[in-house]
Amino acid sequence: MHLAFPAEAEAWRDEVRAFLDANLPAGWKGLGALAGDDAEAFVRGWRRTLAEHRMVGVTWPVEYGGRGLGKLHQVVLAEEFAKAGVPIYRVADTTSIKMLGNTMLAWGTDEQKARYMPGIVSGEATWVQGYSEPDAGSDLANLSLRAERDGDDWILNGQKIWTSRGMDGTGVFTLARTDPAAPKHRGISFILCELPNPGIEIRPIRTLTGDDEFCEVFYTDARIPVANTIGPINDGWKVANSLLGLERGEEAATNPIFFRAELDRIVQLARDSGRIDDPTIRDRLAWCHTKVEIMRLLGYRILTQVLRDGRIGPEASIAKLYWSEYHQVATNLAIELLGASAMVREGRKPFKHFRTDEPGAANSTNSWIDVLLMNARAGTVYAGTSQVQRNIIGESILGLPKEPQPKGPA
Amino acid sequence: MRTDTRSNLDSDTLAMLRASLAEVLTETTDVSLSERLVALGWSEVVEADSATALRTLFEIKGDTLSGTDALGPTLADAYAELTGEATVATVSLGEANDVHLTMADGSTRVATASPEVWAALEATGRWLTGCELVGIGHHVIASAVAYTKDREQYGKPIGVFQALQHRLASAYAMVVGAGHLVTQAGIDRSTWTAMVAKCMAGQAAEYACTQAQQCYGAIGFTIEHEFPGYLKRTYALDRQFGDWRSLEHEIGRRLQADGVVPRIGNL
Repeated sequence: MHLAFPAEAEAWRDEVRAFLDANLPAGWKGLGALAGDDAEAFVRGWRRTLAEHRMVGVTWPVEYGGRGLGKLHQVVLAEEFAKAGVPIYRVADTTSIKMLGNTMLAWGTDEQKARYMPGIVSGEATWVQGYSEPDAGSDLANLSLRAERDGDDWILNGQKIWTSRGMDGTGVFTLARTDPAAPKHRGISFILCELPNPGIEIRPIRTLTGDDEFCEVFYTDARIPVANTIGPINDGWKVANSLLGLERGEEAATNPIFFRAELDRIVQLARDSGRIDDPTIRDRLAWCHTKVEIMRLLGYRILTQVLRDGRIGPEASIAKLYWSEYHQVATNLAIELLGASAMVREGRKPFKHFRTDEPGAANSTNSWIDVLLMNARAGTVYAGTSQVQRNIIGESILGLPKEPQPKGPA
Repeated sequence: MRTDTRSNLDSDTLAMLRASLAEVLTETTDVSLSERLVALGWSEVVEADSATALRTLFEIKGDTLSGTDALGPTLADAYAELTGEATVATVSLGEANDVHLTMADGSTRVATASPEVWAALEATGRWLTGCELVGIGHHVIASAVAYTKDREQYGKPIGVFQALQHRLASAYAMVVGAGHLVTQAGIDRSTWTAMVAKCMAGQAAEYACTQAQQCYGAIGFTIEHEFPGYLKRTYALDRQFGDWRSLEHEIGRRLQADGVVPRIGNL
């Protein structure tokens, strides 16, 4: 494996570093070094700076606020930002920029792009995701939220759930069933629902860490223009799936950086607790180290594939298993090293900008409790459970027979 | 599912005891646990089989996620038996040989226990915390089993998928194993068995929680659901009297130092 990036990517890396040098505050030690309120204020200002300097969506065309650069450039940017411990955008931009922005550019009409892209780039708009439903989780294609045609409008009825940061949304991109007679993957459309809308109600769901991170979204005769459909009507499944690949390329590069930085903090915990010479601790630290290195190499493989083929194959499932299952072991180890009072909250709470606590954060109990209970424990559930990933590896890579399907119409 | 073949209490009495204890441990009242247990006829049960009585009390405490302090008064009884000091209401263990006492009149003081008394109290704490962890393990597995029978995806209950069946089956086997150890710890009342039992109970309860949570999916991460309470309680209990990994380490160290493998139970 040849691990060097092409010269043009390295030239861009220098440019990104120069941008960070010029725009980060003097003595920057990572977002985690700022207290909660300061970190929040910093990210708000930082987001504006990024938009002004066209550092949001660098792969996007110049006319839509980007720089028209390649995917590898975006990866290099994400890498350099990760090393500096600074976010590439707000938490909510994961759905706004990464998901909707990219989908819009791939599938939107010129009118749709002109209307929605400026808000997505500036951060005025915050788009949240309406995919999962109470009866459509792992089996997402089973979704039943109905959109019925009434002249130039859709009338939406049904419910979405697990919408991350739904309370902050200025719009929900919603997968709705527009042809109930079609096979289940074919009768779905991708519809933009701007908020507020008298037919759409959002209610928070409190998580085990006490945060209102997820929401339920209720649609009662919500009227949405048919013109808000992204991509062909009844082809929403394809539209939604085209973006799952986009999601994975960047994290393939940044995961090992964050997990490496986190592991360094765990090693520090082992030193601080006086257990660094304990062979059982050393054994587990070594286990963690090998997994982070594997993630790095897997990441490069995946990047190469994305750049060559423009998409990611079932190998992404291997990467998902590695990082999600690794992170549970690593955070468990950290909590154990914190000793008997590990679950007693003390210190700065993570801002949840990354899967790990923000780089530069102190090794307090609060730095780890939410990361263990929420980020790490939920990692094997969201974005395709470990069971779904193993099914993909079994069926798509190994060619094992598929699990028997239930009787009746699929 | 659970059998108590070595108890002096017959299975009907035990079933009734379990139901009454669940009520006592979860009711909201100012009356102390000791007084409520008296009303239950607790002293007769303890007389018939104190090990089973206490184990059941703590298993039900784990099962119901009761926040009632049962350990403090139980350790106080043990302390009274070991030292003859009968006016203590609750006992908790501090650093080294420090014993924190709350007297019947509400006053508190710290006493220094002899190493033998301290070790005996620690063993009692490990045994009963182990019982509570086993109760949690059984509860979360039963609850996850019910959920996977009910929750449908891909047109069928998710419990038909072996990926989930095997998780719950492995967790169940582990909790049953830990259950036998805590039962034996109640019979032996040895520091060694208590340590081994607590080690396995902590490991089994944590494993059961993680497997159950994977079956619940997203709902298991919300406070609307009972599960997060069991998960957090497990982490907290595992850290009392030594977490399972430290105990595992200590077991290994002792085996190496003593050069003999102590036998557990009279097999």
